[in-house]
Amino acid sequence: MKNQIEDIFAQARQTESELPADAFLMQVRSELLRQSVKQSKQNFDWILVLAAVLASSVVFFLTPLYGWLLALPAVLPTIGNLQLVILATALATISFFVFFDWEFE
Amino acid sequence: MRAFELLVEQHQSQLRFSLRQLTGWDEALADDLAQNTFIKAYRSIGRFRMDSKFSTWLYRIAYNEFVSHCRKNAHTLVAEEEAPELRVNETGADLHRDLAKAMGYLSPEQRTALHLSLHRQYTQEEIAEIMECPLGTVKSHILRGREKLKTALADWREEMVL
Repeated sequence: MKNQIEDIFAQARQTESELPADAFLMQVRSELLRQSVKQSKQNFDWILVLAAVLASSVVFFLTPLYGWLLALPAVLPTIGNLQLVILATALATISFFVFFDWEFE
Repeated sequence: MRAFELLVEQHQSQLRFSLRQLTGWDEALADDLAQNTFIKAYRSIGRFRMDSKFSTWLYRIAYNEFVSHCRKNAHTLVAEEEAPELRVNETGADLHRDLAKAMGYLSPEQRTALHLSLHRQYTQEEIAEIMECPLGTVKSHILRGREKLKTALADWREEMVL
């Protein structure tokens, strides 16, 4: 049986035919493109978040009470949950420090 | 990008065929795994060291993809209850399919070691490199895999194939 198993594999090896590359190559190419677009979008989202944090900080300092809220509606629909959490944390941190500075005064 | 396409063209057939053998001849799954393999290879080509063959490096990525899939979907790759009867036609298509199903009796590691050894004819050292495990483990996978396959193909009749 040992030789039979090797014979089976030898037979399989000999009858293995070349699988056509065209359709598969197209599939790989389009998946690569899809992932690149997704990656670009994620990078763009991060830039948007940083810009939003910066902009809202500036707005916040200029109008301490409600100004930062103005920046949110434009940004929120375009970002993911993780980025939303980071944005909220950043805003909360800024708010915290500004609030305490204000209290100390 | 053109260089990458040439690499895909050069290696896709063997890799897809191997993955079909390992996945019980699930063509769609094998092609998905092959696709992920090539995309990962494209993204990490800078890490490829010239001290091993490109095909060995590619098979290592493919093996990791396959094992990772098996761990996530253990229920979808279980063996069938009855051992298949090996058949062959002019193209060998039935033999390939039936052999792939018979390999379903083996663990993913045994399947891979046996396929790479008996079908692709890699040395045991190369298989150890692909599977990232000690040489002794490879030998054990091949030995046990061969024993299990022998049991699975107990009813196989030589004249049906040769």
